Parts: sequence; C-alpha cells; structure tokens
Amino acid sequence: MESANLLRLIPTFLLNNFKDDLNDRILLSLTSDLDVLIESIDTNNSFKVLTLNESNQCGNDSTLSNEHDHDQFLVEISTRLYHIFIKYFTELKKHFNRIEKFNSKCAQSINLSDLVSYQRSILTEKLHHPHYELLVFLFKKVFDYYQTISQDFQHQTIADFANLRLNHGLIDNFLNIINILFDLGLFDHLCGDVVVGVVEHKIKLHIESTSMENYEESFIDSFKDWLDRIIIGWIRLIYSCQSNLEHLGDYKKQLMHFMYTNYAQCRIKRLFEIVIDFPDSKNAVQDLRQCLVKTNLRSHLVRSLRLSIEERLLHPGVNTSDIITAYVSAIKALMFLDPTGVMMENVCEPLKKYLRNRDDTVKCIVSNLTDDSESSNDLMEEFCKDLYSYEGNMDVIDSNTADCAVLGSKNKCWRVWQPEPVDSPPDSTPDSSKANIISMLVNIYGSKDMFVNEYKSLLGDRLLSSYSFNMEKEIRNLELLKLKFGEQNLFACEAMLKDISESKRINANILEQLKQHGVSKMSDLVVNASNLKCLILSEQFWPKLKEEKIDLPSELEQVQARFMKSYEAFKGNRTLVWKNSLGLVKIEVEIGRQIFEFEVSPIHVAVIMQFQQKETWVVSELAQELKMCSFVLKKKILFWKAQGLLKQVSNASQDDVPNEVYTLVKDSSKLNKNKNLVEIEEEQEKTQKVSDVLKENEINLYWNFTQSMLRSGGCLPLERIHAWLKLYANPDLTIEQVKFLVDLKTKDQLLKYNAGLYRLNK
Amino acid sequence: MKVTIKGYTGVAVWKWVANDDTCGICRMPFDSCCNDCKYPGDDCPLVWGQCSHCFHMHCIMKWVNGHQKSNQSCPMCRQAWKIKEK
Repeated sequence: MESANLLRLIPTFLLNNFKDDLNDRILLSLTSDLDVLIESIDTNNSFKVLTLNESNQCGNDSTLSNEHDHDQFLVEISTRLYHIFIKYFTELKKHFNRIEKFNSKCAQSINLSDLVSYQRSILTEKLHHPHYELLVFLFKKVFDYYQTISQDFQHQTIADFANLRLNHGLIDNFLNIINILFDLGLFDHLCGDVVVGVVEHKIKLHIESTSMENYEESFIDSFKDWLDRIIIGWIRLIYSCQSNLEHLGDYKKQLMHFMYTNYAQCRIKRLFEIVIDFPDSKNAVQDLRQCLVKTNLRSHLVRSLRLSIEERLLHPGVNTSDIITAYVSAIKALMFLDPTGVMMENVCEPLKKYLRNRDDTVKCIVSNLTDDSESSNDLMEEFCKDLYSYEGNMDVIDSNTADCAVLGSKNKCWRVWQPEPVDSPPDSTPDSSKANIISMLVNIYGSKDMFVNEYKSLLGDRLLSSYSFNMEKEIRNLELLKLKFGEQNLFACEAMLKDISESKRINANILEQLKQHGVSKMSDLVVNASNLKCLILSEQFWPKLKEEKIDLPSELEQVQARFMKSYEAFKGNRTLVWKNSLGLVKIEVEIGRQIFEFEVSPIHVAVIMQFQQKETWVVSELAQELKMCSFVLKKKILFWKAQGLLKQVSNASQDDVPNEVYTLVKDSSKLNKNKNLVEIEEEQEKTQKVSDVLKENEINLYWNFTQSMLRSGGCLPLERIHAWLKLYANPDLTIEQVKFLVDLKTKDQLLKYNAGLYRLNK
Repeated sequence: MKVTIKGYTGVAVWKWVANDDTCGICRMPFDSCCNDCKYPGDDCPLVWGQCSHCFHMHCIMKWVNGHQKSNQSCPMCRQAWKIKEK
C-alpha cells in the first residue's frame, strides 16, 4: 500500500524539482539574455525597423547604406545568439541528460521520457513573442543572404555546404545554432514553424514581386526552377546536419503546391486586368490554366472575377462600347482558360444581364461589327474569322480555344471526351456557339431580329448622313452579315443599298436630260452636275424617316420641281415626295465683303434666307412664316447663332421661346470661325433627325396622361403606356416618341424604370 | 447679307401614281414589292387594267395565268382583264 503511494508520488516530486530547476537556472536567464540581445539590436540598429522593412519590401535592404555593414551586423547578432544558445543549451542538455540518467536508473514503472518533452514544451512556452521574432528575423536575413550567395552555383552536397560554412561566417553561425537545437531535439519545437513560415513568406514575396505587374510572360517554369534551386537548397542546408533527409520530398511537394496556390491567387487578384489585356496576357492565362489544374481555386476565381467586373465595369460610368470590348476579351480569355466554356458562362452571366439592360448595346455591337474605321477592328476581325469558320475553314480559328468545341460538333473527339466541370450550370449545353464570340454577342438578346433591325436603322443613318454614293464598304459589310444572319433577314438593307446605286444612275440620266432641255432657264445650280444630286429612296424599306414640314426657299423648290418633272418623265407613273428635313445644301453667305461657305440642311437654309429680306425676326413670326413650330425653329436659329451669323436681341426669359428676337450680325469679324463647333452642332442635328423628338407642349400633355395612368395602374410597360396614350391622347403617337417621353422623365427622376416596367418615383 | 445656293443634295422617296395604296392581290403597298420580289420599283412594276385597277405586275400575271383564257377578269371588278396600253 505504502510503496504504491510512494511510486505515485515520485514523478510529481521529480517533475516539480526538475521544473523549478529549469525555471530558475536556465529559462529565466535565457529569456533575459535574449531580451538583452534584442534590446541591444533595438538600440543599435533598430530591430523593429529591420523586421518591418522586411515585410514591406522583398529582400533588398536599401535602408542600410552599406551592404557590408549589414552583413557584419548580422554576423554579430548571429554570433551573440550563438553564444547565448551555447551557454544555455549546453546546460539544458546537461539537464536533459540528468533526467535521462535518472530515468534509466529508475525502476521500469516510472517512465520519465514524457518529462523531457514536457520540459521542452515548458521551454517553448517560456519564450516570448519577441524571441520568436528574433528567430524569424534571423532566418529571414540568413535566407536573403543565402539567396544572394547562391545565385551563381548550386549547393547540393554536404561538401558544398561545408565549403559554404567555411566562406561565410553568417551561415556558419546559423548552422551552429541550428545544430544545437537539433541536438536538443528542440528544433521542431522552436523553429519548425519558423522554417515553413519564412519559406512560404519568401515564396509569396518572390511571386508577387516578379509576376504581379507582368502579364506578358510565363512564370511557371522560372518559379519551379527558383523553388528547386533556392528554396529546396535552403531547406537542404538547414537539414544538412541531419542525416535523415527523407521528408525533403514531402516538403518539396508541399511547397510546390503552395507555390501554385500562391501564384494562382496572385494572378486571380489581377485577373481583371489580365482579361482586359487578353491577347497580350496570354502567357499569364496559360500559367493560370496550369495552376488551376493543381489547385482548387476555380470557384474562387469565378467569384473574384465576377466581383471585380461588377465593381469596375457594370456601372453607368462606363461606355457601352467599352463593356462590349471587355466582354469580348473576357470571352476570349476565359475560353482559353477553360475551353469547355463553363467558367466563361459563370463569369459573364452578370455582364450579359447588364448589357441586356443598356439600350445602346445592340447599336454598339452592330456599329462595332460593321465599322472598321475605328479601333474596333478587333470585333470586325473576329466577325470575319467567324465567317471563315462558318464556311468550313477551320484553320483560322485558334486551335487552342476552339478545337474542342469544333471537334465536338463534328463528333470526332469522343476519345478525348471530358465531362463538364463540376461548376457547370445545369442548363448549359456543350455546343459550339460558346466558342463563337459573335454568337455570344448576338445571344445577349436571344434573337437575331433586334440585331437586324438595329443594323437597318444604323445603315439608314449612315447612308443619309454621308450623302455619298460610295458604298463598297457597306456592301461588303452587308455580304458578311448576310452570311451570318441569312439573306432573308437583310432584304431591306439590300434594297436600301440598291436605292443608292439606283439614285446614282437616275441622277446621271436626269442631269443629262436637264442639260439638253431648257438649261438656259434654270439657275446655274443645275448646270453643274456635281452640285446637284438626289437620293431617291424606296420608303417601305428604309427606317422611318422623320417628317418636318417647312416651306423651302423658292430657289430650292424650283430645283426640286424641275428634278421631279424629269424623274416623272424618266420613270412613268412614278413621282417623288421630297424629305426636306434631310439633305444637304451648300451655300455661300456674303457678309460685308467676306464670303463664308456652309453645308447645312435645307431647313437651316430656309431660316437664314428669311433674314435676307428682314434683318430682325421674332421667333413666333418667323415660325409662322416658315410654317414650323417655334421650338424646332429655335434650334435652327441656335445653330446660326453659334456660327455668329445671328444674335439674340431681347432678353426674354428662358421659357418664352416664341417671343425671343434674333437679328443678323453685320460685323463679319465676329463670325465664328471655329469649325469644330460647326461639326458638333451638325452632329447633334444628325441624331435629332432620326430620333423621334416631342415638342415641349406635347411633352406636358402626354406627361399628364402618363402620370395619371401610372398613378392608377402602378407600373406599366412601355407598350401599355403607348397603347393608352394612343387611345386617349393622340392616335398618331409612335412608340419611339413615348420612349423619348419616358426616358426624359426617367432622366429627371420622375419615373423609375425597372425590369421593363415604368413607375412613378415617389 | 446675301445667301447663294451653290449645291443641293436632296432626299426624296418615290411613289407610284396610282389610285390605291396597296395591291389588291398581295395586300402589300405598291411602293413595296410583291411577295416573290426582292426589290420594288423597276423590278416589280405595276400594271393598269382597262378597268383602271392596278396591281403588281407579277401578282396579276399569276392571277391571270391561273385561270382559263375565257375567264381572265380583274379580281376587283370582275371585268375582263386587259392591260391598259399607254
């Protein structure tokens, strides 16, 4: 009974005894000595600054003026640390030995090996945060040092390491410290985390510093090489004094994985830029593709890219054309990253949704597609490429991005078939349209019709604003589009182009006729064929042309009548209806002795010609004279005001347009010679010409209707508003005009537009 | 101030001079073309019958060819279809 009690007491007694022993004699003085060392570094060379520095920049200490001083300083620290370690750890060793000796003498029943490890853990516990920091600091510094000296040769064998120790005091000290720790079996306790931490930290820094801003090169191989040479060499060096190097292989695998993860994360952080830069950043994407295979970062990638796209692209501040450009390069980049297209679908979902809500998306895409004058060549190229592939010429497609999809459609790749990635949405279909950027763009809306219509109106605008008969480019575009969308959908566009070429022929004919008969009676305008031409359109095939009723100057009316007569003679049973809001008149304005030339619309001519007879006009009177609305007239007057030909006389309040008075400027020196302004004005004219604009009094009328409609109906789609307005206010109202009205009110924040429905903003 | 017109580029749309807007057979506007044609105007002209009704030429030809010689009448007024020569 008593012996059993005694046996139970012995370990406790021993434990306390040894514990006190360790506490008093070794640990207290060890920690205090280390504190002294840290303090001395602190005062001497600011340890804190050094460690801070370390975390900010990578390896290179520019703060220390002299490299040599720095090394010297490190050697000094490591030597002092070494001495401290020697001093205490030899004692510690003795202490451990004593325990072990006691253990071996003791009876089998008491096993004191646990005690040793217990003591070890007490030691690790006793060391404070600054002490570990000192170790980390030392490891980092020695690593940097090692990295610089190992640039030129490989250290793989023990002999190499011995050589290294001989030549470099710092390394020697460092290895001595490590040896002591290994000896005591304390290395893993004290430094295991530090080794891994420092190495990982260094890998991270290395990756970030080399690859963060550079998307054009591939880094995977250089990183692998670096890891092999520097990091693995370094770990070998640390464990060189240990014979057991078996776990190095595991270490390497782990670090390799760490490197892939880090590199992928680094790339993902900048993926938005990479995607935007795509064809240039191909190598970066290629790297990422390799990394993604080895790491589990797909969902992280999708999430982070979606987020950055949403933050940086999908807000009102970005031009639609820029979003489309980004969309296209995102498609390209992500198809390259993941040829199955699943990732692209996942990432681009919000982009697609957002583009659907922008009303100029179709316009942008179509103009990008067909207008190769600007930087949008990219899309044009893509388009042509797309068509080549359409015709079966597969070589044109980048083999990397599209081969799987293309082959898939041909049922040839069943051998290399891969299942869809796990994150593929359940409704996705693995078809070739994914690889096709144009289809992707067209499919934003889900139908071709919108595209065709938009192209039609765009083509109309373009033909009616250039007034040239030169359409080779347009014909080429149309041919391309026909291949894509089918001939049937584009009949109208073809007819439009045919109208223009027909006009050219008719023009030539009629002018010939005019020259032969009664030339003498006509003004000299008609004689010169280059100065008169007419676009004769088939109205049914063109987008709705805007009507503006005005009385033209008699000169122009004469010319029109004459031309019409010739046309009627030329084409039996047909006549012409002039569209006076369209067209271009070249005029010379003579003021004082100076002559100015302008090319303006017939309406502008009508306005300025009125000032020929009477120099000062009240807007309402002039409007009556020209039979047009004061508000429309005001716009035309403003054009001439901007030119400097007219000026406002009365200071009527802003709303009182009909009573404003304008007069002719007689002093030609004040004339605005700024051509840019003219162009700007004209551009505005152009856009107004085709878009349907409501007059102000109309707006108020319709707005009152709309308001009461929405008040009782809650929220309504555009079509319903249009239908109601047509029923109650004006049967001739077009949907474009209603759109103009609600857009205007939405801009003024009186209406809210959401998911196709308009509601009052309360 | 003196304004002189130096040149003019006009825009106009052409129309058939007819007593109706749409073809009675294909119900398309005269200014458009019949269902078989791509382009209006010269490619798809109108013809006037002696009854003064007019149609797309292609439409009335189809109509006429679909009937026996004895029964070729204007679809609008049932009078014998004879093209009005001018």
